[in-house]
Amino acid sequence: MGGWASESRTGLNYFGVTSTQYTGTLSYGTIKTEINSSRPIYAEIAWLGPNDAVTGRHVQTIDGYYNDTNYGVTDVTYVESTQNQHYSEDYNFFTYDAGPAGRKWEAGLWKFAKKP
Amino acid sequence: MRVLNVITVTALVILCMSGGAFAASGSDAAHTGAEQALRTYKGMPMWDQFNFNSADELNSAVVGDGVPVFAFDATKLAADASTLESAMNDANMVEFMVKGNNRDVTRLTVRKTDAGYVRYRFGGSAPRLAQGLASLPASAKPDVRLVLMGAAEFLYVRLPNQELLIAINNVSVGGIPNFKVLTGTKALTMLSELAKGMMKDGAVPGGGLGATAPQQRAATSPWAAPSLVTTIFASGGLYYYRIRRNRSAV
Repeated sequence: MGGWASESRTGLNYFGVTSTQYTGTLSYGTIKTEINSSRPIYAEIAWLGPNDAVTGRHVQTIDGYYNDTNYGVTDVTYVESTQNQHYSEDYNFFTYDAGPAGRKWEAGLWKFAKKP
Repeated sequence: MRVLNVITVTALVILCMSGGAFAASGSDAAHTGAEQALRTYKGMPMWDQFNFNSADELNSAVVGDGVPVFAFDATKLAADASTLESAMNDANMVEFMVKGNNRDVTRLTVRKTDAGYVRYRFGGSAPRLAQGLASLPASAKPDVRLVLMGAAEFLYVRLPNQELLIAINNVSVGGIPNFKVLTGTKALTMLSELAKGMMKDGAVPGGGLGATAPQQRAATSPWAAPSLVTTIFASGGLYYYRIRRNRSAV
């Protein structure tokens, strides 16, 4: 895998933060575990156009979740740097949502830790 | 008299352009769906992440005006589409402003399904949406569309003789200025270049749009890319504060 994940990993390492690259998605349970351990998740996503054609790629940072079983809410909350805003979105939509305004979570970084 | 006419016409133009209270579209069914969706977020402990001043403000929030959501087709834009409208598709969603204490706070998006309008996403800047709407002619309000292109957002309207587009992002995406009304021809040229760059960079995982043009150019440098380094470190300690405030209601 090329592009920003490896570059970001190199950059974070320079600043004393280690991380692990992953491909695909992380489960909702894994996200909760990471967030509860005060570790964010770096998510690379592909933008999907009509017929799910990839029209671009982007990075969003998951820094929370909103899980309310009373309402059946299983959201992830993430930072969108282009808008400098937080969003809360259903985990399933965050993972994959068909075009024309769709997205697919493809890879990223996790298991962030400070170097000893 | 001529001077008076000029002043009158100028005043009318300013009034038309200012928009005022912009009661944009959003069907009753979509509005009802949004009200139901908003209930699921009341009581959310991370109210501060969504621009609310207090938990009480979130709990008393109401659904405001909505706009239909479309998405630009980067492929069509890159292939030199003849009009903006021909390069966008209906996303079957409506995005509403959420008001707290009578101010625009955040947004709520619902999606049209066979079962009606359902919750899709919560968050985003309502003030920027309101500012964009107010920048468009008031007469066009029933026809305004929110058009997405990756993470970038635009407002679009088609008038009898021309198309208008206005970017409402936090940063300039692809060099397109925010809150400046662009005519269709000018916007098409800029969006076409943006789409070409988006699709080229999109061939590399992580190298895509949503980044500003300078950020895209800097993506070859691991230190300048809008990576987790900038995202997290710019947030500083607030980031950890936010993480601690998640709720898991079991």
